[in-house]
Amino acid sequence: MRDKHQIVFSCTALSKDFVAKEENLSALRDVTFSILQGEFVCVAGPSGCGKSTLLRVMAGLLTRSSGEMHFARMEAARPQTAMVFQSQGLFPWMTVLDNVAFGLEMQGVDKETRHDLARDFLEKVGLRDFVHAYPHTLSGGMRQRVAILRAFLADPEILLMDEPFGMLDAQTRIVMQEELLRLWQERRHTVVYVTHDIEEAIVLGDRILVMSGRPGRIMADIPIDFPRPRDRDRILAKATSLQLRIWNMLREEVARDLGVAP
Amino acid sequence: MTETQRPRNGLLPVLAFCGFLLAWELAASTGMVSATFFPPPTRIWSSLVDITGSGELPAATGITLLRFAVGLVSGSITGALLGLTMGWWQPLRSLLDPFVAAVYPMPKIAIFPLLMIIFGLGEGSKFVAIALAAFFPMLITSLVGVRQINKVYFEVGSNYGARGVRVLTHILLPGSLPSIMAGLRLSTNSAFIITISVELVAARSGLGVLLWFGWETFRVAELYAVLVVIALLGILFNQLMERVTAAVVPWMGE
Repeated sequence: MRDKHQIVFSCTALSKDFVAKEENLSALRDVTFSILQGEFVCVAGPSGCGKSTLLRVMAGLLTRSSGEMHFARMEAARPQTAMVFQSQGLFPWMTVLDNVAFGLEMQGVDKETRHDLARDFLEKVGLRDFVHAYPHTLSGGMRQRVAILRAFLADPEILLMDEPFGMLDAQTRIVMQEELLRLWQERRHTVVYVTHDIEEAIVLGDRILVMSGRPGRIMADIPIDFPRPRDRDRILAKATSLQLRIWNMLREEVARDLGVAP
Repeated sequence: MTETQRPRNGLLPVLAFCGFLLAWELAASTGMVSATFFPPPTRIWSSLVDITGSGELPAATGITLLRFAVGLVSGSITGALLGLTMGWWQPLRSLLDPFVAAVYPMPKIAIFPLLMIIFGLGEGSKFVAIALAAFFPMLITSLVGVRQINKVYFEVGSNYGARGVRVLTHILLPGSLPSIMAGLRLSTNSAFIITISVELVAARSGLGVLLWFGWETFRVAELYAVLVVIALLGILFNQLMERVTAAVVPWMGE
């Protein structure tokens, strides 16, 4: 069933324009790429380059303005996508347990089953004591862990992550990246992970799509060949030239967005 | 607040209040202040016991609470339903906004004479006045409650497959519930004010009538006794609302 090299998503000449006050704002232009089954794809680019817009179009939260987009459905019972939002994605009125089980509830799974599955999952990652807590009692890092568990438990064909660690401090972010890799290693979901952090993209991804400043185009598609499971420290020791190469691509884009002369 | 700090903090106000009553008692019985206008607390107490024993006070409290409850429940439920619908559905909001803007700031007691012409001098006009007083704060707060729900919650819902009724039960209602509870508090206060007000103006029974009666017959101690009951009811409602809010929206923290 799960052919490693099967294409699960592809888009061709995808564009998205926003019309605000009769002004046409182009967020994405001619974006073309495809994703293989089980691939961890990072999308890196300067802030405001349309990375989030790309995810929202993929998630069906925004409609595309032009171009083609195709999902190859493997199993009809699984949801097409599940998204982890940058922050505030948890429902404050639901306990951790109900938040994690939310995707299953929407898929029609009965209460006992979905609570059992969610509780098992939470216990496995060491969140046993927070099962009945409300999100406002958790730290920002813990809230994002819960949001990630919710997305994994929904078991979508493609996991979409919109800078899930963007609001966290640098140290918390590193620990969260390691936990994300551990979780991912088990089921190997197909992931599209948006970030502006080059280092993060190298540590997590099988591939990095480097996006230009607005309107977002794909400037480069760079494979990352480090073996898995990933060892963050070893990768970063070896990846300096790669980091520089990507940064040199992005530097101009950032400078242009800021109006800084190159 | 920790458990050990509580009694220490709670004791001082109680002592201060007792001291105030004692000073009043002494001042009124020695003639330092006029006992006619400020009858000593012991006399207010015995008046309270009198009108309780005669059945006057319990009967008046009963009818006042009945009017208040009927008005509050009907007014706040319709207010919440309309407010939620207006918050969710833009066309209705545009249609009704001018009416709300016109009637909301008006003191509801000002409409009461008109209500008496329309609904008669009986209970009908009183219920409508009290219900209106409860209706508007609830309408506004529940409307705002829906509007202020973070858009990301609807995106999460949509992305995870929530449609139709589930958007209502899982996002719209719980998301606006904190505002609705704040609205219920405002509605409770405003309905209680109007209940006493309409009784002062046009009723044959109730706490407001008892107050008016105390003024007309110059039974000042009785007047105070009724005020004490009204104050206690006000405190009771607020405490009750606090408890209910904590039970209904446990995710709000402090």
